[in-house]
This record gives sequence, structure tokens and C-alpha cells, in this order.
Amino acid sequence: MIELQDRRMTPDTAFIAAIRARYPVEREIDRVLTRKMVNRAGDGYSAIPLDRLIAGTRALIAANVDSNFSLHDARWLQGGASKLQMAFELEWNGSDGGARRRTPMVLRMEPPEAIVETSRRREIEILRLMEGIVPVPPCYWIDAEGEFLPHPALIYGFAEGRTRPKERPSQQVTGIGTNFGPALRPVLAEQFIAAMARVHTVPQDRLARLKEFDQAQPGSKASIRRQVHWWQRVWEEDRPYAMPMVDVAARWLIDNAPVLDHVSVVHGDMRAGNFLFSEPSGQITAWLDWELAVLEDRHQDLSWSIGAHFGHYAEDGMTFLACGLLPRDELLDRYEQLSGLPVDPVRLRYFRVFNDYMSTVHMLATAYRVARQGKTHQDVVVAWLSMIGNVIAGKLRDTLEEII
Amino acid sequence: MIPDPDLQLSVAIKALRDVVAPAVNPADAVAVEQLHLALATLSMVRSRLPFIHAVARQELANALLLAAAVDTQGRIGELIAQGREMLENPAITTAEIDVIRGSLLDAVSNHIVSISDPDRQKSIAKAVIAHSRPQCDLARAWSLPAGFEPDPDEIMAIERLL
Repeated sequence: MIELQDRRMTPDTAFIAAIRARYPVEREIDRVLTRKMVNRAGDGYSAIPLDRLIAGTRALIAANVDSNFSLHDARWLQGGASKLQMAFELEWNGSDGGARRRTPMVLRMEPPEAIVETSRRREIEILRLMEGIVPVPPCYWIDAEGEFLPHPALIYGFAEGRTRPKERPSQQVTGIGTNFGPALRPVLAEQFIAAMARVHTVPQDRLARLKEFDQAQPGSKASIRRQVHWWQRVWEEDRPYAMPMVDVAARWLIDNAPVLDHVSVVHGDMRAGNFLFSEPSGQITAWLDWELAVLEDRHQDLSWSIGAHFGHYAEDGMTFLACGLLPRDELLDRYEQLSGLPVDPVRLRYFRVFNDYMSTVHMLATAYRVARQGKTHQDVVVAWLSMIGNVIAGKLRDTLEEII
Repeated sequence: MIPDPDLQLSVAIKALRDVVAPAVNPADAVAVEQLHLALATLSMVRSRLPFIHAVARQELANALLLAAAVDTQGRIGELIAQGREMLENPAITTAEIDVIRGSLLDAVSNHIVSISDPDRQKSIAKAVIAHSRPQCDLARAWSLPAGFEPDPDEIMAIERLL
């Protein structure tokens, strides 16, 4: 069996150090990836009773607010393939010490290893940055090192809304993306693009104050190469066996990294499924899943949002709708109008390769690894999702054949 | 062999679907989702079980062609020879095939990242991309039941790739 010769199951310090030296990444990314490797040989995920999470949540809150609070209606929350989530209501006097109230909240906690290994410190910092820019859940408290809970976690406000319509609006579309239906599409599309434009144009002085993100410099290729190193490192840490095509893709990405023209917050997973909307009004109520956010090139998000996996063909069977919302060219034209930033087709192509490379790493390396070592609360979901990696790797190969 | 793995998987699927699933609290969305995927996983394994050894052999054959296009000397050359011998041996196990394939791909990968001459890099890259096609096609055919293919009709049935 492959695992008999698999050093990645129980990596020693020399193995960990060699990979760290070979692929320099941002400081906080280095911290969480190193922690992952140090803990790799430890226990997998074992069922955590809801009562344990409630007790840990109480302890975390007690460390941050006065003792006059109580938790109610705690329950597991479905959604996402990455983190454990528990919804609950907090009866308290608010952060302002005002009137008694009940606030719906979500505990978001890491499993021992996740399909993407990310930082709760970065996640809470970027969510706080986004308050007032796009709708995001309010952030409350963080347990960065798992001091109160079994693993690192954060607590944020519960956002109302849905990721897809309650009733499937039409059987006539084809593809695997979310089908919002013809009536809802234009309403959501305009908000989707406007949100992307606002995220990508956060003033530079605000980005410079972020503590958990290494800065990116316009006029340089260094930060984009650093992101490639991130996923090269994860590939080497997690993969079951080598795939020479993945090495070729990484080298192409390093050699062809574009010069950064404008530093943006890049969400990293900006697509249908990662925003909530109110079905009666069609208003987007919250943008979720900021854990992959970086300071980088906007084309990463743009290329991601127009990808084949998140869209579908409209009722005419011919028009491909990016994220199930609107045709690709319309999305890109409207984005230019709203953001004031140009869309460069060469960069779009670069980040198509980058995104397919990153997804191949997620699915064919990390998803395999965490399921193989029983590290998550839903290994069966993660192992199933890993199969999308074969689709993406096939697309990556086709693209590489066109460009090399 | 009685019971054969196909029978065992069939009865496990039936028990989960007909007895366990109705007993799961429909309000427990996490449990419902995981049961659904556990059933789908078992069904997929059942459909793929007859091909497992043939797929391992084909994956090794694909890796041998890829490796030979990159280099035929040194460590890679030795592993190519061992791999070819294995394919001639009817008694070889699936696990043994997987080990030699893993070693071969590691050697090829190490060779690729060690190349510094840009022209050589480019010619090797082209060879790798071209010879990765059969393995990509095989992996996509294997995963077809998962439902992630945007155009499933374009994917060849796994039987045709073996």
C-alpha cells in the first residue's frame, strides 16, 4: 500500500523543516502549516459531544465578557466541508453593556486537520476589516490556540439567509452550479459584482494596518510567487504520491507570475454558495468563508467566479452563466465599471491556472490526506469531494497543453 | 467466495437505505448528509470493485509511458524496468503495483524539479503534459459517478480505458 512508504503520515522534524525552507510563505500561514505537520501523527477526529462545545464556548465568552450571560438552543450547523459549526443564542447585555438581548451566534471550530488549513486570526481580522464594506457576520471572540475549546475557533453572529432558492426554479438548466432562476439572477448578479468591486478596492492604508497578513507590493512579482509557494508547500506536505504534471504547473506559475498592479483583498472563494441572500427581497445578507483571503491580485477572484464548476448553462442551453448569475463577459464588463480597475485577459488566464492548481492541491492532496488519517468530522464528505480534483486536474492539464 | 464482496456491499447498502435511513432524525442535517454520502460511497465502490486491479495495472502503464518520456537513465530507468516486469507478472498484487508506481512518480518528480536549463525544462514539460492525458482521463472516468463533471457525456466509460 502507498501508506507503508508514506513519510507524510508521521513527518519528522527534518522533513517539516526541509519543506518550510524550500517554500517560504507568509508568517501566519507558516505558523498554521507547521502546527498541522507537528500534529499530523497525533489523533484523528473523535466525536465531540455538543455539551463539550457548549462548555468551551461558555469559557471563551466568560473570558471576554462579564458573567451575566447564558447560552440557549445550541445545535449542530450544516454547511461547508472545512470547519465544525455550532449555532446558538447568547442571552447577554451586548458588547456595549446595554439592554438584555438574545443574539444568534455561530461557533466555527477547526477539526484536527481541515480540507484547507487556515488561520482563525486571519479570518477574524479580515471579517472585521470587511464590516461596512460588504455584508458580513459580526465577529465576537476568537480562541486562536484552542485554549477554551478542543481546537482553534471563533464566534461570530448568525447571518440570516439562504445559499440557494428553497424551490428549484427550473429543471431546464444544465451544469453543476447553483440555479437561482431567471427572476433572481439579475438582482443577485448586480450585488455580487458590486461586492467584489468593493472588496477589491479597500483603501491601501487600511490594508497596511492588517497584522496577520504579510504585505504585497505593487510592481513586484514576489507576493504572487509567495502564494504559489503556499500551495507547493501544501502539496508536498499532504500528497499521497507525486504527480509530475502538478510540478510542471507550479514551475509555470513561478516563471510566469505577473507583476502586481494593484493590491486587493482577495476573498479566495468568491462564488455562489458563499453568500447568503434573503429570498423574499433578493438582498445579499452576508458574505461567508473568508479563510482563504489574501492581499493579492483581483484576477484571482475574477477567474474563480467565472470558473466552470460554479456556473451552469441557462434555459437556452447555450449561454453559460458565471456563478449561475450572468454571462462571463457581462460580469467582467460590469466589474470594470463598478471597480474602476481594468480586467486583463492575460492575468485572467494566469489565475485560471493558479486556481486550478490550488484546487488540485486541495482535493488531490489535502482532501486525501485528512480523510486518510481520519482528521475531520466529516471524512466521508471530504473523500467524496476529493473526486472533483480529478475533474480540475484534467482541466489544468488541458490548459497547460494550450500555453506551454 | 461466499459471500462475495459485491453481495456484502449490496446488503450493507440495503440495510442503510431501508432500515437505518428511516430511523435517522430528519432534523439532524449533518447525520442525514453523511448517511446519504456513505450510501453513495458504498454504491460507487460496488460499481468500481470489478475494475480495481485492472485500474492499478493501467495506472502503472500510464506512469511507465510518462516516465520513459522524461528519462530512461539512472533511478528512473531502474524503476521503469521493474515496473515493466511487474506488468508481465500475473501473480503481482494491486498493492505491489501501487508501491512501484508511487516510487516511479516520485523519481520523475524529483528529476523534473532538478532541471535548470530552460529549453530542457520546456521540452520535459511538454512531454509530461502530453503523457499525463491517459491518467487524467482514467481518473475522471473513475470519478464519473460522483457527478462533478460539467459535461459527463464527454467522459469515456472506464471499461474503454483499460
